[in-house]
Amino acid sequence: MAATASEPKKVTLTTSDNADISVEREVAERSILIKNLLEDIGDNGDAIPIPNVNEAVMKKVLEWCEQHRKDPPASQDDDADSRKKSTDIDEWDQKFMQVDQEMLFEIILAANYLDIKALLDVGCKTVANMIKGKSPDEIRKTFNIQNDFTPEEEDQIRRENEWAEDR
Amino acid sequence: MDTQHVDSVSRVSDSSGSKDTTPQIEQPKASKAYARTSADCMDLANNSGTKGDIYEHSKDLSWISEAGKKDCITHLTMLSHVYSREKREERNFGLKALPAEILCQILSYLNTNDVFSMRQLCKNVTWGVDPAFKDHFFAHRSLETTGHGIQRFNRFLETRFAQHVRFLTIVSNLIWLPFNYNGKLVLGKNRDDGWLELAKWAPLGAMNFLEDYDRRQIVLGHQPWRNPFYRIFSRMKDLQHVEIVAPYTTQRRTAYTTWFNALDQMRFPRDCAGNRFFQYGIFNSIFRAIKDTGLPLRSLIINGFSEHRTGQFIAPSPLILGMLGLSSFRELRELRIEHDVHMSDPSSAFLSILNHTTQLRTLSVCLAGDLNQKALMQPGHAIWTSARIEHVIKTTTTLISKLSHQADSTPNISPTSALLPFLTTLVLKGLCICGTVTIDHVFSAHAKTLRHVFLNDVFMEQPNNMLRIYEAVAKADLEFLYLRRFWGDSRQIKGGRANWEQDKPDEVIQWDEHKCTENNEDKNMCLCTMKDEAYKDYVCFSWEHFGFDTWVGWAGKQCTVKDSMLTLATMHRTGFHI
Repeated sequence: MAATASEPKKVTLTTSDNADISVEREVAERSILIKNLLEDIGDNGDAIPIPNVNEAVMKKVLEWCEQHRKDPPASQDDDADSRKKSTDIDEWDQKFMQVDQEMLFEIILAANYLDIKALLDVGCKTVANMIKGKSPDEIRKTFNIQNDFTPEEEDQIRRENEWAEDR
Repeated sequence: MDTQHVDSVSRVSDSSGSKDTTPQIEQPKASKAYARTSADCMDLANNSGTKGDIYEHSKDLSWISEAGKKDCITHLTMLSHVYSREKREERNFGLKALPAEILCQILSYLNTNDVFSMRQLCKNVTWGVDPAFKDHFFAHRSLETTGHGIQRFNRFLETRFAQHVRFLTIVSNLIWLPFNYNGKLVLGKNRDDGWLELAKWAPLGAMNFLEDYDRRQIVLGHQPWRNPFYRIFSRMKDLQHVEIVAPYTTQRRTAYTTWFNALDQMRFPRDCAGNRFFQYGIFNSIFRAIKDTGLPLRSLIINGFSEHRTGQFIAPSPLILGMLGLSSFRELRELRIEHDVHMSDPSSAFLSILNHTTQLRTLSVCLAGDLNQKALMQPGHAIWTSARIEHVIKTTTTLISKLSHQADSTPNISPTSALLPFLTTLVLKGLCICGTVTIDHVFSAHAKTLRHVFLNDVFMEQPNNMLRIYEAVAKADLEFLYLRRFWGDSRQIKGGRANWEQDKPDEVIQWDEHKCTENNEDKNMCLCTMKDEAYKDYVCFSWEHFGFDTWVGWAGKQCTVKDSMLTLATMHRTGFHI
């Protein structure tokens, strides 16, 4: 009985592809969305549907949450400050983000949906690092983007950039 | 419970969906064919254990023969991959499919050149980052009041970004005057070497001051569109904050290299001779444009408007301020009139701005520059000193009356313009406190909202006022208190003198260094800022009249402003013993 009492509480998450993932509540509550859901519906053992995230991505997100389960929750001030900071990323997070682009963007979208600010920051920083120092053409190649501007539109963008430069 | 559960989820989903403002590219026509084909195999997909919401809406597949089902399963496996990839392409999977808010966050980590590169990728990304781009690069603009600067700014006003400017800093360049300038010549008319330098500035003069002066535009019936600032303000619909960095003028009296560096910039811009002629012009134009456009200002910052050597000043004409009414200042939340101001009429002129404000949250005013014992008590300057004190006492009384809701007899402050008790940050420099109106009234009046207070250079006629200040501050329960240089006239003060000046001779605390911001690390509290580590937790109170100093252990951030003020009040009542 004592052992049962000391066991961490678990919650079940149902992903978009109908997979059920059991995870410690503390880990799942890194997501503000899940935390609020649990507070709203109470811990009655029902699975929590996460309709916008599939199993593979959810597992990846939970892996990050597990690693960062003890991190202090981010405050509004932290969030504001983090935008001014550099794009330095923790070593573990760097390795964690070494995935293909499809997964990287899925993680970012999932972090945004699940409201995990720290993970979203890491994702955005990773993308920012992929952009830094590259020309538009290089960035397009990196992310497989097609240039859909007309020459006139390109000129317009350049002129606008000049105004931005001239502050 | 299930219903509740579903409701919660749907609510969250809705809110998430509303955030996604990224422009969606049109769906390719070919996608319909894929959808139909995949729907055809939906039933087989379910039977074979393949799940996916993309198939769930189609049920009627009875027309498929049993024999064909086996082939379909094989086909479906291949098709699901194709469809999956195709679907991702349809919705522009990847960077350009990210919601605008995420694109903007990515943008925040990039430097200027990278931002420019990112804007050139594709339409989706450009549209996505546009809010952040405008906010980052165009929310705050500077206007240099040279002919070229104004011309360029006028071109900027033609762009779509002009209406996103919320904060405008108006920077007036140095004005050069020829060495033989006698103050009577009209700017720009002479063509000798000296005036060629002036020609650089002449366009501003033509648009600004000279119109005011020659055409008598100060009087009613002026033509607002002739005012360059009117044209500027009227194009910026979102402008709420204006900062004015006033010009310095100089006469070239010495060798070129002494005054100017290789870039033609003043080496010591504050050590130059002032000229009221032009200074009036720029301020009058700005203030009148504010009035004419009805600009709903939230903050007004006037910085560096005095030149201390000659006593010249840069301030709006009191006549202009009196005439305009300036309804634009009614919603003002922040008013900063900073930098060294000489004790002359500018403080009165600027204080008359206060007459139009009732909603201030932040007020920073410097009533007198260089107000210290040396300046005031200098032998041989008794009359001048007396006049200075009298002037500062008058302006201090006006200000404190305004801040403490007292409808004083001072004509500058009318009873209807009493400041509402919402002040959160108060920064005052150069006060002379005496008589019945004392600064503790200010703390009492704004006790519920006041959080940050900076007082510097406070001359007190009656030291007993200190006790009332301690008690009033304790009652206000501030988060941050910065007091520096409280002192009195030993010839007038009988009871003792409290000198709170820091004892480190090399320790100079700059006025500008302690502007209160939300990110101020010292915001917990501290009475005095000590740069020397050895003294950082202590404050020295020097009770010179009684011949002893007291070091009060401050215990860093453990002690609140309220506690320390109560301690000081006790010290004061009990003969300065802890």
